[in-house]
Order: sequence, then C-alpha cells, then structure tokens
Amino acid sequence: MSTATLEMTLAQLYTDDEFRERFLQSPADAIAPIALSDAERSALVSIDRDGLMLAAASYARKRAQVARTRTQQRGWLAIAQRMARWRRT
Amino acid sequence: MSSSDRVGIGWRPELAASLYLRLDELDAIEVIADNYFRASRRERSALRSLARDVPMFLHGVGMGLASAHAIDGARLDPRLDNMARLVAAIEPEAWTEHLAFVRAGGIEIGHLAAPPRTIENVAGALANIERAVAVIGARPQLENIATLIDPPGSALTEPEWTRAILDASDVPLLLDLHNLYANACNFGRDPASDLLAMPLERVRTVHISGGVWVQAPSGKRRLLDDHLHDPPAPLFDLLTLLAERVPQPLTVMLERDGDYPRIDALMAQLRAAREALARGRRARHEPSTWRQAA
Repeated sequence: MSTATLEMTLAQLYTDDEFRERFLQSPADAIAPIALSDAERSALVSIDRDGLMLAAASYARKRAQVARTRTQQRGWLAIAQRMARWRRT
Repeated sequence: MSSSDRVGIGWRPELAASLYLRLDELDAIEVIADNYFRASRRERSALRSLARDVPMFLHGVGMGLASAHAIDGARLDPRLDNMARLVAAIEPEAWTEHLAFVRAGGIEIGHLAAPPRTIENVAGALANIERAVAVIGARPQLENIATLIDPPGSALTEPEWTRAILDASDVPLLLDLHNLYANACNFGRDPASDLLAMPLERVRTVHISGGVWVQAPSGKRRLLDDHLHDPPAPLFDLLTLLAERVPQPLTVMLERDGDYPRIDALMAQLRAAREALARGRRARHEPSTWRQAA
C-alpha cells in the first residue's frame, strides 16, 4: 500500500482543476502514471464524485477566506489590553 | 450539569469587545493559534493577559498531523516551532489540533481533509504526533473533522481509526459534535450510533457549531460544516447523550466564524449547551426517568 501517494493524489484532485477534470472524464487514464496499488487505483476509480466536487469547491473557498481573515485578527488586541487594565482597576 | 463541566466560545476579533464584557459568563475560550504565529510581543502579551482572565485553549488548524507524510521531513516545520513559542508565551490550558491532512507532497489543500483511513496513515499520524509533542512539550487534544467526501481507500471506520490513533498516542479527543453529525448525515448513518462508537472515554473538550446543506451536481445534498450557522437542535441532543454516557468533566466550545448573530443569541446558545449538559448529567444519575421522558 502507498497511502502517502494516495494522499498526494487526493490533494491534487482537490486543488488542481485541470487534473480533476481529466480524472472525472477518464479516472483510470488520469491516474495511470501514478504509483498506486491495485486496491488504491480501484478505490479512486470508484470515488464518490459528488463528494469530490463539493470538497474541491469547499477547499477553494477556504483558501480564499483564510487569506482574508489572517489580516483581520489583530484589531481586538488593543481593545483587550485596555479592557484588561480596566478590569484590574 | 456537573459542577466541573464548562461552557465557552471561540474567541474571534469581531466578537472580542462583546465577549470581554461577558467574561464572567464564559468558563473558557478558544483562540485559533495559527492566526497569532506572527504576533508581536505586545500582541502576545495581550493574549497572555486574556488567558489569565479565562482558561484558554490554543486551537491549531494547519499542522496536518494525520498524514502518512512526515510533518517536518528533514527540517523543523515552522508550524511546530510557532506553536511551541505560542504555547510557551501564553501558557494555555491545552493546545489542540485536528485528525486531518492539509498537504501532501508539496500540495497545499488549504483546509482540513480526511485522509484515507489506513494502517499506514495511523503509523504516520503517530509519528507526527510524537514529533509535535517533542517540539511543543505538551500533548495535544485532537479533533475529529467533517468531510464532504468519504476518503477512498479506507480500511478502517472513522471510530476505529480515531481510537487507533488516540489510544496509541495517549491523547484526549476534542469531539466536534457537528463534524460527527455532518458525517453521519452525509454518509447515511445514525448520528447517535456514530457518537457511541467513538472513544468517548477520551473526550475532554467538545465543539458545537452549525452548517448548511449544499447541493452536488447530481442533485444530492451534503451538510457542509461552515461555522456560519446556529447549531441545529439534534446537536444538543447529542450533547445530552454524551453527558449521560461519560463521567469525566466536559468543556463545550461554541464555534462561530462569521455571519454573526447578536451577541445575546450566541450567549443563548451557550445557555442551551449548559442545559443540554445538565439534562445528560441528570439522566446519568436517574437513567430510567430520562428515558421515560425521552
């Protein structure tokens, strides 16, 4: 078994639109060059397609969202320091 | 509710001012650790000050511990180093992470993904957890995740896989009830049965949150755990069932990441969690009464 390779293939399916499209059109051909066991190959060919497309869309939204929220985190810290001083007086 | 059960909320910048005015109503808070990895000394000082006012959990989202890939390969992963520095600076009650993979072979997924549940993945997760513990100096609590896709190539059920990792690494479970509920709904299982199959004796902390039904191109629906909606009613029933079944104290955290309702509505959800816990604790001591009422 080669779970590490299977994880890598899933990561590519979730993030690479072109690879995912090729895979959905012809799963066996798309993963032919990848070093997977027969069982892993079979599991991928019969993958839950609804789940794959929904997961890929969800991860794409998350990547965009994380980039936005990281920049918003710090504003409350000045408030926190003022409130902490106020609570202790 | 057991005298040592606690209820708290995920600390978010948008809620901070309102929550600061209600600290007395919060038993604990949870902070997304990754958002403070690059915080200045002044910012860490504020966070540490907050942690002195109310017990704090540092919640990591980016390590990807449950992977057959080594977390830091040949050199120290900056995420481990960052978490170690933050834990040392803040002195939280605990640090937490997810039973998920977030990258593989240099490909960043950008969020928590369910790995194929195999023995090889369990072995990788155990090695990664030990590496993290060695760098950070404390054992984490690890959380079950929600998934829209049943990971292909899995040889173990989610409860079997979860138990294999947690038992061998001897770490507590951060049980996310909405993740469990969403997975049960998405893959045609009974949420209560899924709950009872999990290693409940390891639960220390519980997450509650909400989600939304999304439609696949085929027309079928799946429940997306988006933290943008209120916890659904069945979640409180699961919390009651959990409190009935386990003797240990539980800390319940409400997670909300956007589309915030009025603060009063969030505080009402915390009260609902307290009431659900209390119902479960009462049933634990008077099981026949509770079953008749149910």
